[in-house]
Amino acid sequence: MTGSEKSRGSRALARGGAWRDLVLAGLPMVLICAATIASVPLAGAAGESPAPAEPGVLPLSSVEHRPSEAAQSLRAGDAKAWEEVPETVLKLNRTPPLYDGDPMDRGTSPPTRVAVVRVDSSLLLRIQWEDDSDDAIPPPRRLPDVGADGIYKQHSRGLDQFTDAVCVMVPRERGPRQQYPPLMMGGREDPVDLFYWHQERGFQWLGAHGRASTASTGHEVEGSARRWERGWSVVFELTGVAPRTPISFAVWNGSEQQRDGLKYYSPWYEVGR
Amino acid sequence: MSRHQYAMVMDLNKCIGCQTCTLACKKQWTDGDGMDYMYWNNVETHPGIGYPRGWHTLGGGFDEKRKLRPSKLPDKADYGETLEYDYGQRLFQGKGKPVMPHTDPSYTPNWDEDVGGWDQDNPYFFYLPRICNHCTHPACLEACPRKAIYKREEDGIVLIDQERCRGYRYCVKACPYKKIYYNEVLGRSEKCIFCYPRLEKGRVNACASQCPGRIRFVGLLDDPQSPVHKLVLEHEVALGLFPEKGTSPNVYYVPPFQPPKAGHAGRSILEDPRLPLDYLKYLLGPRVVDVIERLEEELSLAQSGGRSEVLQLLIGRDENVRYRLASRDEMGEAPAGVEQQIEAHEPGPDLTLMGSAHASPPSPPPEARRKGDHSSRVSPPEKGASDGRPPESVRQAFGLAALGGLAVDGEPAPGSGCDGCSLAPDCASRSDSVPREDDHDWF
Repeated sequence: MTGSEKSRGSRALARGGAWRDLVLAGLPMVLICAATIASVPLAGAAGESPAPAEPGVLPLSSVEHRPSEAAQSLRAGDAKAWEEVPETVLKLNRTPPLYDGDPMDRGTSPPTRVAVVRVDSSLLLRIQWEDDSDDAIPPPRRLPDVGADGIYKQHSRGLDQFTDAVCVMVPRERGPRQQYPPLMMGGREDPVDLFYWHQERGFQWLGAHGRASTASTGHEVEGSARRWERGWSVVFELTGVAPRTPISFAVWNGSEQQRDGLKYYSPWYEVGR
Repeated sequence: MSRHQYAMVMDLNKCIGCQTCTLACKKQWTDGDGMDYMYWNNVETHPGIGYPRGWHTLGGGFDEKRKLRPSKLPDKADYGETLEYDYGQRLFQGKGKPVMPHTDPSYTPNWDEDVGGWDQDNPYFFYLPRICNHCTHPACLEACPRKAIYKREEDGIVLIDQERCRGYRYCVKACPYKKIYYNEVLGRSEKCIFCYPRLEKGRVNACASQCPGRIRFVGLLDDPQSPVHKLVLEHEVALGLFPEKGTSPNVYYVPPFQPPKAGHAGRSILEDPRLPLDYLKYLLGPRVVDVIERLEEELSLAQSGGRSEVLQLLIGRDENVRYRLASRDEMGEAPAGVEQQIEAHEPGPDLTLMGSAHASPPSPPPEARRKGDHSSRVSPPEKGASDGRPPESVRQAFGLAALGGLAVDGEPAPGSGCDGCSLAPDCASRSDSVPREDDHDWF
């Protein structure tokens, strides 16, 4: 090898060495990015969820933590605040008809997604589902009647109408467990808490210990609800929901005369860590 | 089954349609939020569409297999729009415009008052006051998935537990008489409570108390001294509405047979009835013919100088005659034999859960239950009556004037002579209205 060849080779090696150094320097970052991309489930990806911890468990996406300052906008359902939060696509089924005349199951259910964040000791859940119809009952009209108060402050309107609603069900005994409560509103030995939003009546905290036992607990639950272009977006703020607590969801479409047990419901999931 | 059963008898020969009972109930119970459209007691003209409109064709009750019969849920238009009147402009602002409803209604409760039917240029109608029937086998109780409806053991009054009710309205659909009302403000359903707080204090129902016609009789069905027991079980001159619905109602009606038709001149009511017997059979069942015959006999007895206990009861001059209430302390066991008498009178299968089919069909009524056997005059139910729709003969009998102009195929019934009426615009708009899933031809 001649001196010039050596110098050419050395210069080539020097240039290659620089590139190599750059590659070596950037490799950890590339590896970190790749791992991050692989670990975050794509929003809207049908049925894709993180690998279950145990066979048969349906986990919700991992729960992210947010600072206290974000609580207000998250609670209000601000789209920007929820933008980066991973979502789980729920598997919903329609309950069978109970009475003659109840609408049959058409085999479809509204696309529904759930996102979960923790803020301090609260668990904030945003449930978004598609529902073309806004089933609000139109407000009654009253004429001013100068000189006298009407006996009735408002006139009934939607006597045959039902409104939209959503419910989050968690066992009263929170935390991981070997056996889930009965999906039909829990059981006598395994009661459940029902965090319920009704389009007309607002947010309610109900309890149940089996079918047809739903009753008010007397407590209040915080949340917000808003329409988006294709449906509803409802946020619940819950407390005391430990990781791996079983959780289930139900959605009612008022225009399909859904109420009581006539609804779309999900199996038991588990709140992520 | 409840230990005792309060019941009411209404003599349709005495009702003048004054609506005092309606207002008595309204002021007593249904002047709260969400109750604007409710009339727990209402009085309607028959033949007619009633309140809610077409209620007797909407379905509900039980079928022959004791399954809950499907029904439509009435909407606000079926109950009638709540009307507003701007009195202030006339009384206080001196504008002088007439006080008119704020909108041009097409239906309200008692919309077809006094319209009735026509028979060869003779109009006919009668008034039918209605309350919850507090049935022995309530379809509403069966239908409620939360078991929010219960029948009081001490007196058989049917009530809705306001703590348990969540306004699902399966009961509204199940009731064949459409006497349960949904309160939109409270999110619960409500109904006639038979004025049980008044009864418990020894005071009769508000509707009965205020009735100027003295048409109502109140008492325990199983109390042999009560007027309802005598009229329903002993003399058998009062019948429940739509017995084929299978709920065994405990509000009974003495069928209208008076006054007679113009030019009656000694002919029997059954030969020349003012009201079509087909329509009375449609409302009260085939036994109505027997009952009218018996009433005529009693009237003849009294007119010829004899003494008729039935007529003395029905005149009901005194509150002591019309009402016999029992205090809670007095409600011991019913006298022996009375329960069997009630069962024999109202054959009813056992309650079934969630509309499941009963093991055996209901037993037919006994052939001879009273003095003399008039069973040969009892005609079988007409075809079509069991599915909740009026038989064809009924549609033809009372023509269109009482029915808002609708017939089976939407065209005026032949021979009805309908030249159009105030209901005619509603006929056209009704048939052009937005079709509902189980839209009924309610006349």
